[in-house]
Amino acid sequence: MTTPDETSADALVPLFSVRNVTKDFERKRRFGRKRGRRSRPALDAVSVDIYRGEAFGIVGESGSGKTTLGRLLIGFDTPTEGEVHFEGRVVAAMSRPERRSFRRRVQMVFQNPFASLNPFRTIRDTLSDGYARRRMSSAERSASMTELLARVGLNESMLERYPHEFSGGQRQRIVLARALTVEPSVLIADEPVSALDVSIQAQVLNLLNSLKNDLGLTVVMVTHDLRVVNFFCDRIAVLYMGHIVEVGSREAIMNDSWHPYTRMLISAAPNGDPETRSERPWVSSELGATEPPAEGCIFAPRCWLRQQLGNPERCTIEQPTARPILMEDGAAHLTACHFAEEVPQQAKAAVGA
Amino acid sequence: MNVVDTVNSMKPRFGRRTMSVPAGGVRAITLRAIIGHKRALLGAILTAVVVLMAIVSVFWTPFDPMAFDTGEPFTPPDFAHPMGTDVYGRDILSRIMAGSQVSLMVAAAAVAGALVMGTVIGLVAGYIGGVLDLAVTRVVDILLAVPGLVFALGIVALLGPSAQSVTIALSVVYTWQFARIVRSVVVSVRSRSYVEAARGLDASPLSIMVKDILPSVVPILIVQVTTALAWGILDEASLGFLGLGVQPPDPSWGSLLIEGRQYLYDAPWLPLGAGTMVVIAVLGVNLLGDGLREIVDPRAGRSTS
Repeated sequence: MTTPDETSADALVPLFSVRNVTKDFERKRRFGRKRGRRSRPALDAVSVDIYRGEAFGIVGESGSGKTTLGRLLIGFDTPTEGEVHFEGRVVAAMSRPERRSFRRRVQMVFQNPFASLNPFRTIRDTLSDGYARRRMSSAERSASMTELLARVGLNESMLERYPHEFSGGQRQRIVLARALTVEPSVLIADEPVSALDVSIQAQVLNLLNSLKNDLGLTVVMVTHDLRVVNFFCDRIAVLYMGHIVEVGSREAIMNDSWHPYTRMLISAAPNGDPETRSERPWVSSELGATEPPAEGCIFAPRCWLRQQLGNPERCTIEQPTARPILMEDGAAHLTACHFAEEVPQQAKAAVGA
Repeated sequence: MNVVDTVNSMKPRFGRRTMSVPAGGVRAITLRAIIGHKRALLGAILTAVVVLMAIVSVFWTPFDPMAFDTGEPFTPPDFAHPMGTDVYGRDILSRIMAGSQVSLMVAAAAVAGALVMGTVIGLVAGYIGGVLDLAVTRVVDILLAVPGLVFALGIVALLGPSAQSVTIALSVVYTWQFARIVRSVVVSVRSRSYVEAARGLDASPLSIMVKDILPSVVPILIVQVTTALAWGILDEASLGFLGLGVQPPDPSWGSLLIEGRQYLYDAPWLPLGAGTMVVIAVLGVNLLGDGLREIVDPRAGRSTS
């Protein structure tokens, strides 16, 4: 099925294509007008492409809409506006057979392994759901389960046990095994390690990494943890209050980002050494302390760059759209800032000051 | 009632005998599990005694329960009449035994019907949600606002007094209690990520309802079944008292209690036997249900080590 040309062609056609997606959880009032102040949608006109075979990270702080984006990708929620395409088909408008095949191709790894396994069902029962639609003899099924468990670092004897008999790391391995029962090509992992101990996090991430390489999976990693994306992801999208502010390669995002928010986010991450204080003069206020302007840049009230540039008017009257930045290596890099070109230089100046 | 609270109340307890029975699910209900659980065992024994008595009475009773003058009227308990005789000289033990058939059958059949109907209604309404759920919830609220006995009374009046009418009436009344309880659990479980995971694996709604959601309902259903059985026995007696249940001279525990009531000061043994049987049956069923709930819930603190 795979021809030599197809690999390069595939790399150009996005697997997931998110087009102008808005998700608003505000319920329509049945009577009269909406109460209270206008709510902000969880996602606001988000567009992003995810390619086959990559590890794509979606990062952002709490409430940035990253989990919502993940759920839209897998079709657990439907966008209020805009479309999510998977291989050219709209996820929310799939026919029954299309949806069935989509379900087999795209699987989810949940955040909390204590909530995502049914406490009343043995591991065998839980795994068997994925085999329900596959024609297999029970011997084949058993063999397949054993192989799967071995793949995630568990053994066959655990099949008859219940979830409460396992540790968090083991449970997350079971969750991974369950996702793999349908032999998917895409995993959407929503904070897959944030509920685990740090030592276990590394194990599970390594496992995820080797699964990705062995099975050729595309992994979408939704997380707040910059260490996780730095370890795991090829490309990263940074979300802020429902907007994608920057998309680029891991190196570019982590080391030379072109958006003031990304710079701030990365500088805010604690480094291991209490003696070396990270230079971050630009963290001016907490999220939510200031209501963003109705028009203009959503980040403007907290933006250090805007302050350094002397509060240009453009930031509060014109909403920046994600635009490509020309990188030296020619990589595609998108950023949503009017003054992105100023970022590297100004950041240096800010640290130096 | 919040499910999480219920589940939390079943968290580990100490001092339970350890067992090699695998914990969890309906499959955990084995003879060994019941024998190993003190309260369940006691409840099972009491329930078994009552049921056994009802079965035996089909084939044999010390006297014909309908026959007059098996001894002097108002004979206190003695060797020939362990429970004494009533105003017509009928043997009370025989009547209690025969009456247990009606009492248990009516209660069991009513609860079984309510269990099936209520579970289906609650499961479907809770899982599908939306307008259906809203409609069911409102209907249940309205029906539950009417006192159960009054509601049952109306149905029996409509159908004519008989054991069957009482069964149907109680069944309808209890259905809404089951539906409400099942629905409340389903709604809270529906959005759990393991249900979402099953949906993500393309499991059918029926499979999700039966395999993923129903097991969470079972522990609470068992408690509800036992409570309802106890109420069934009592309600059957109440309807009997109002003349709407089994018609005299056929015995049931309810009618025996009521027959004995007017002679309570002169012949206290008249209602004593039937009253004791009601207590034993209700206690046994409740203890058994309590034990089963702990056995079914895999987190109820029984270790396999």
